[in-house]
Amino acid sequence: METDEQLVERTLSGEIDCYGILVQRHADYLFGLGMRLTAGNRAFAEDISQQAFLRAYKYLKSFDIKKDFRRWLTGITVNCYKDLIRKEDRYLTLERIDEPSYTPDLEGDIGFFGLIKPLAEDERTMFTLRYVYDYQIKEIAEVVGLKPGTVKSKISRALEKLR
Amino acid sequence: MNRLETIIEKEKEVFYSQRDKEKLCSQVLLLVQHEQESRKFKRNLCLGLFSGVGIMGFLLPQIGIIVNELTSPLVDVMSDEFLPVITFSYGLSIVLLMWLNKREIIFD
Repeated sequence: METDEQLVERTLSGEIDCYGILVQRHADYLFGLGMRLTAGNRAFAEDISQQAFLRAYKYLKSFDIKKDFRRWLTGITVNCYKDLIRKEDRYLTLERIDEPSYTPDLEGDIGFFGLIKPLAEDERTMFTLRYVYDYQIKEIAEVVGLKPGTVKSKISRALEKLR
Repeated sequence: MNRLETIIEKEKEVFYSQRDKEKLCSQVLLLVQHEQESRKFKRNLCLGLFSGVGIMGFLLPQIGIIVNELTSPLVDVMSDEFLPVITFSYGLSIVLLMWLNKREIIFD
């Protein structure tokens, strides 16, 4: 099986089908991240993952082959989430709905969505990356483009809110 | 804190599955191809316009000279002898055309 980096190189050399393999490989991961960031809004999560894949293709040339592709995608997904929240009012309307658009076939625990609901957009992102995806503070800072100190204080604030 | 940890630990075990990955994949590739084509079209359009303007800028003075050379003897001739005849014939044609258009058509 080819690695992500090899597929990126082949995509950049013009084999667009290789990007399709990357999309299939990371679709579930991005969708899961989207679901957690949106507190269970399936439609929003699907839009985020599609936008993230499109944006990733656009900036594929800037991807550093030495780095982890999934981590790079995570950063793009977080940015897409922020951009879509800002651009589209319909998502805000959906966010205000108390019950998430949760479907039973997901087998997900609605408790987590309920837990992160009171958090602000950036707190939710950092909290999820830190505790669900086990990212280090430094790595989160890299992904969200903030200083590690700021990330640390935002996570502490999020924890205070949740306690 | 225990409640928080339990919820997080439970959440870590949850697997979210994107619906219809094939469809998502084809949609993404289609949009990517569309984007590439529109970028290519824009690039070609800019290139065409840029070179077109360049060529026109180069040719226009030459065309002006050629047209001037061709029309200057004609202007003299037209003003002296042909202009009244041409005016008369065009006027007559217009009148005839108007008359033909006004005629009532009985049979197709």
